[in-house]
Amino acid sequence: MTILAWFQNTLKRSLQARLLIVGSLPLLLITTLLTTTNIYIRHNDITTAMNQSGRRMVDHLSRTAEFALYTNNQPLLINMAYSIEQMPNILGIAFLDSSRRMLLSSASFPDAEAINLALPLGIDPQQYEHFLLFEKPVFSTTIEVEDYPDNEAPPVARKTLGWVVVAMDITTAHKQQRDVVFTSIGIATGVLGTAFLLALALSRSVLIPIRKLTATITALQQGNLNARALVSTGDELSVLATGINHLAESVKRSQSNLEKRVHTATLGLTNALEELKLKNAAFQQATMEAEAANQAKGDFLAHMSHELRTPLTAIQGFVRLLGQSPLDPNDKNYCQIIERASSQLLAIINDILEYSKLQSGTQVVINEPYNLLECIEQVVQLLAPGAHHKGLELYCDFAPNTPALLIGDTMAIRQIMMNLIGNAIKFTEQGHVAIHISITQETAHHNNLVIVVSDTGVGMSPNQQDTIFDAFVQADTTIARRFGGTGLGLPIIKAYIELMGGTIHLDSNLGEGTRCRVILPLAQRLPQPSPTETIPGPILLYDTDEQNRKASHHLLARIVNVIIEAATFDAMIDALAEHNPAALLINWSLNEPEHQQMATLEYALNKLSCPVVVQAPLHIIHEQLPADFINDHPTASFITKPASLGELRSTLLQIELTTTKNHRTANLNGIQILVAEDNEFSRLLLCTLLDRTGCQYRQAHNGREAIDACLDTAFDILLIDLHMPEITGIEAIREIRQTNNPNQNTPVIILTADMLMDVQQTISPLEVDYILSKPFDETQLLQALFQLSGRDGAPAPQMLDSAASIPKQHYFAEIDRLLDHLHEAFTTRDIEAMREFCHQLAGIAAVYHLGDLDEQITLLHSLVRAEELNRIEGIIMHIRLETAKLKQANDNSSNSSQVS
Amino acid sequence: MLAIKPREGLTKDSGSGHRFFWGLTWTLITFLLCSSPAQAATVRLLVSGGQPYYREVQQHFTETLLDLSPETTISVSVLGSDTMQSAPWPEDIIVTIGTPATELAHQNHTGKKTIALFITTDVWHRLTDDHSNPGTNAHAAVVIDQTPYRILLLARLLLPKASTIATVMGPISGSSLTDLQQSAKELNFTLTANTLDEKDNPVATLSPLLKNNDVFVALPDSAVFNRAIAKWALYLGFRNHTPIIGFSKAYTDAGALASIYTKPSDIGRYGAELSAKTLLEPRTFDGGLHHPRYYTLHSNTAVARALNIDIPDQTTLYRMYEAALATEQ
Repeated sequence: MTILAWFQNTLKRSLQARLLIVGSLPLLLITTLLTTTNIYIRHNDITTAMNQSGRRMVDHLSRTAEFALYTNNQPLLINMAYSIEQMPNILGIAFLDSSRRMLLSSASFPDAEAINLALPLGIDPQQYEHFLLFEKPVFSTTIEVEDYPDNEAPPVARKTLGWVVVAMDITTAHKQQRDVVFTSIGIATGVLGTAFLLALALSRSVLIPIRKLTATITALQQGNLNARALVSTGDELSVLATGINHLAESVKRSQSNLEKRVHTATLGLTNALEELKLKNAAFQQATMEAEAANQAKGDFLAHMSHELRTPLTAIQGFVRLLGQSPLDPNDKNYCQIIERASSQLLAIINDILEYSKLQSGTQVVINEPYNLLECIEQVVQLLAPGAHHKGLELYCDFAPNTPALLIGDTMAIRQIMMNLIGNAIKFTEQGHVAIHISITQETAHHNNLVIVVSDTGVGMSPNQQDTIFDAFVQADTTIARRFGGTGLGLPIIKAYIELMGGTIHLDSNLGEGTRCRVILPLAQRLPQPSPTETIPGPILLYDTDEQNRKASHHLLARIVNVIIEAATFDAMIDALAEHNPAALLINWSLNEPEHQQMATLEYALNKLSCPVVVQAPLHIIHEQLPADFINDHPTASFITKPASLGELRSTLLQIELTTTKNHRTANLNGIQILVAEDNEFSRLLLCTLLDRTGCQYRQAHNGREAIDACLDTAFDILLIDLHMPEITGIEAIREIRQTNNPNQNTPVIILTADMLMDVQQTISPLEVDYILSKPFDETQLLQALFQLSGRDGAPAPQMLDSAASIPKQHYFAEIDRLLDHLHEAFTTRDIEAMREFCHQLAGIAAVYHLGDLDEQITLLHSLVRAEELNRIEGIIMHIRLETAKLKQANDNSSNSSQVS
Repeated sequence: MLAIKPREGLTKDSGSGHRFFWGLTWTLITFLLCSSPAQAATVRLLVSGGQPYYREVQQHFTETLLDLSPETTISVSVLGSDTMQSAPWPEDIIVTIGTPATELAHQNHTGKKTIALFITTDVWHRLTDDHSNPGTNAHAAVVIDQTPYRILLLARLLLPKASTIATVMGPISGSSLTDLQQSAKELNFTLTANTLDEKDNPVATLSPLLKNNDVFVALPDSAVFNRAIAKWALYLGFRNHTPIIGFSKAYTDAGALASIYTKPSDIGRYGAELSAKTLLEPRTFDGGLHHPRYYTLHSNTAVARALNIDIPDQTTLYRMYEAALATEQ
C-alpha cells in the first residue's frame, strides 16, 4: 500500500516519471505479449513436433511390422527396432502380440515395471517421467485377388496381429523449451532496457528545458517579475520561453500601470467612503428621528387610547348610574342618548386603535389552545338577544367533525365572529342569520377551519363588494346614517384573517343577503379531550325550524347518545308515545306564531309527565312568558336561546339525576376531604357544598398548608386548586406523591379556571384523578367525589345549588377585592400578579351568571395572558361598572324581598 | 498395365485348320438359321442380378445371339427384380448367368436344355455331382476358370528358362491336379504342388515353394487364395525373386507377373455361340463343362522390372501365346 502510494505520488509530481511510463509502458506491454506468445507458440511447436515424430514412427512401424509380427520373425523385428532407434529422441521400441504380451523390446526401452502395457494406452501419447509412449495396433491387411468378387461373401474381418510401442525421450524437448523461454526473456529484457534508456534520455532532453520554464513561471507567480526563462534548445520550447519572457515583460508593465490606477482609484474610493460615512450618519439620524416619531405616535395612540377611554368609560358608568336614579322621563331619555353616544364613541376609538395597530404591524397573532365551541358560543350568546329582538333567527351550527380544542388566537377569532355576526344582524331586517362552522381537510396534514356567516339582509352590489374591505368605507353612504359604524369592522377582521394566514370571501347580491366565508388554516391538531359524561337519552328534540333543528341536533349529539327529532306537534306526540324520552327539548322558533307555540308549551308542561326543557330567546322568557307560567312549572327548565353546550349538558344532567328511575341518593358521611383553595369565595363555595354531603373536611389556604395537612392526616380525597400562592397545586401534589406521605396514593381532584392552558402545559393525567374547571359544576364535582369515595348513588337534589345559599354580597366583595389587586398590579405592571388575580376572577366569574360579568372577565383574562396592557384598564373599569350595576340590582332585589 | 483384348475369332483352337472348320460351321449355322421355317426360336435368359459383370455377360450374349439368330426371342428374367418370372419357362432353351440363376434353373428341373454361363468350375461340379437332380445331361456350362494348361503355357512363354514350377492347391483346385501335372509335363516343368488348408500357416507353406522354384502358379481357389493369404505369396515372391503367374487381372495388378483370365464379354459371346448351335441343332447339344474359348492376357511390367525379367509387349505376347496354343492344339 505504501509502495503504491509512493508510486502514485511520484506519478503526480514527476513529469519525467509520467513520460517514462507513457513511453515505456506500451512497449513493455507489447514486448511482454509478444514474448509470451512466442514462448507459447514455440513451446507448442516443440511439443507438436515431438508428438508428430512419435506418431510417424509408430505409424511406420505398424505398417511395416505386419509380416514380422505375423510370422513372429524376431530378427526382422530387431532390425526394424534398431533402424527406428537411430532416429533422434527415440528412446526404445517394443512389440506386443495380439494379447499385449511383450514379444520384443529394445534395450533402451523403459523398464516394463515402470509402465503398464497390459491395457491399451489409447490414441494419445502417454507421458511418463521423462518419456512419451506412442502405440498403435498392427492389423492384418488384405488385397483383392478376384476380378469378380462374390458380393454375398462375408467381408474378411480385420485381425489385430500385435502392437507397436515407441518410447520418446522428452528431456531434449524440455531442454529446447527452456532454451526458448530463456532466449525469449533475454531478448525481451534487452529490448526493454534499450527502450527504457532511450525514453529516459529523450525525457531528460525534454524535461530539463521544461523545468527551467516551470521555475521561471513559479518565480513569476511568486511576484518576481524580473525572472526570465533561459532556454536555447532551438525548438518549440525556445519559442515558449520567448513567449513567457514577453508575457512576463507585459505583466510587469501592466502591473506598473495597474498600481498607478489602483492608487488613483483608492484615492477616489477613500473620498467616496468619507462621503458615504457622512450620508450614513445623516441616514441613521433620520432613522432614529423616524423611529422616535413612530414611538411617539405609538405612545400617543396608547396614551390617547388610555386617556380617551378612561374618562369615556367613567362617563358611561355614571350615566348608567344616573339613569337608574329617579329622574323624569326626559332626563332618562338624555341619559340613554348619552350612554349610546359614549358607547359608539368607545367602539370607534377601539376600532381606530386596533386598526392602527394592525396597520403598523405591531399586532401579533397569539397561538394558544382555546375552545372553539365556547369562543363562538359566547359571541353568539352575546349577540343573540339583539338578533332576536329584531325578530331574526340566529342559527349556529357546528358540523359534527368540528373539534372543540384548537390552537389559535382566541381574541382574533372572537373579534372576527363578533364583527361578522354583528354586521349580519345589523344589515338584516328580517329572516335569519346563520353561522356554520366546519373543518375541511385539504391534504393529509393540512386542515382548514371554515366559518360561514350568511344572512338574508340587504346584500351588496358588485361595486360595493369591491370596496367593502377598504377602511372607513361602507357599502353605501346612507349606511352610516342608517346603520351607524365606522367602516373599520371588515378591514380589521380581514387584517386579522390575513395575519392568521387565512382568506375571506364575500358572496352577496343586492337585496338577497350576504354570505361571508372565512377559511383559516389550522396550525396543528390538538388531542381532543375525552368525551365527558354522556347522557344516554333518548332526548326528544322538537323544533319546527328545520335549520335550527339541525344545528341543535349537531350540538346535542356531542353529549347525548340518542336524539329523536320532531318537526311537528303531531310528530312530537307520536315520538313521546313511541320512545318514552328522558327529556323533551322544545326550541322556541321566531318563525312560528307565538300563540301556537304557547299552546304547545302549555300542553307539554301540563299534560306530559316527561321532563321538559324550553329553549327560548331571552326576551321571550322575560317578556312574553308570564312569570307565574314559569313559577308554576318548577320541574321545567327554561334556558336562553341559543344555549351553549355546557348549559345543555348541565340542564340535561340535572334532569337525568332528578328523574332517574330507581334513583338512590348517597352521602359522604365519614369521608375525610382536604380543601386546598386560596380564594376565599371559592373556598366558601366548596365548603358550603361539602357541608351538605355529610363529609368531614379540612381547609388549606395555599399549597404549603396543604402539604402540612397531608403529613398528619390521611384523607380520602384531596380537592386542590391549581393556582395557589407560594406552592402551586400541582407542586403540592407532586410533593405529596413523592414523600413518604400517608396521602401518597390519595385520589386528587384538581380545580382550575384555565383548563385548556393547564391541561396543555402542566398537568399530567397520571398525577391527578379528576380535573374540573372553575366555576365548577356542582353535579360533576359531587359525582367525582362519590366515585372516588366509592359511594354508590347520586347526589340528593338538596345538595345542589350551594351558591344560592351564599349571600351575593360575599361574591361582589370578592370581585371588588380582586379588581383592586388587579388594578394595583396593572399600575406596577406586575404581570405575574395580574395573571394570578385574573385567574382567581375567572374562577368565580360565572358562579351566578350575572349579566356579561363572566364574559368581560374572560376577555380580561385573555388580555392579561396576551399582555395587551393598553386595553386592560378599560376592561377593569367596565367590570367595575358592571359589578356596581349588579350590586345595585341585587341590593334592590334584597330590599324588595325584605319589603315583601 | 495394358489389358489386351482378344481379337475376334482368336480362340484356344485357333490356327488355319481350325479357322477353316469354324468358318464353315458358322456359315452353315447362318445358312440354316436364315433358311429355317418361319417359327422363331425362344430363349429364357435368367440373370443372377444387376451387377455390372452380369449385365456385361447379358449384353454380349444378347448381341451375339441376335447376330447369329436374328429371329430368336430372348426373354430376360433378373433374379430379385420385377422382371423375374417363375418356372415353368416355356422357351426352347434356358440360359443362366451367374451361380444363383444356375442354381435356380437346376432346382426347377425343367428338363429343358440349360446352358449356365459365368460360373466357376467348383460350382459346376457341385451342381452336377448332385445325383438327386435328374436330367443333368441336359445341362451345359461355360465356366470362368482357365485350364491349367493355358496358365502353364503363359508361364512357359514368359519364363522360357524356368524349369521348376510350384503351386499350392486347396480343396477346390485339388481336382485339377491331374490336368496340372499333365500340362507341366507337356511344357517341360517340374511341378511341386503342395496342399494348403485353413489350419496351415500359409507363410510356412509358401515360403519353401517360392524360395526353391523358378516360378509359382496361383490357381483359383477361394480357400487358398483369399484376400488374407494371397498377399503373402506376392510378398514372398518378391523377397525370393520368384515370379508368380496369376489367374485374375486384380492379382496381377496386386503384384503377380502376368495372368490369363476370362472377361464377361468373352463368356457372353461364347455362350451365345453355344446357344445358337443348340437352337439350330438340338440333337447336337454339347452338354457338360466348357472352358471359355476366348481369353485375355495381362502382365505387370513394374513387377517384371523389379524381378529383372524381360517380357514382350502385350501384342507380341498375345501373338506368341496364340501361336503356342495353336501349336499345342
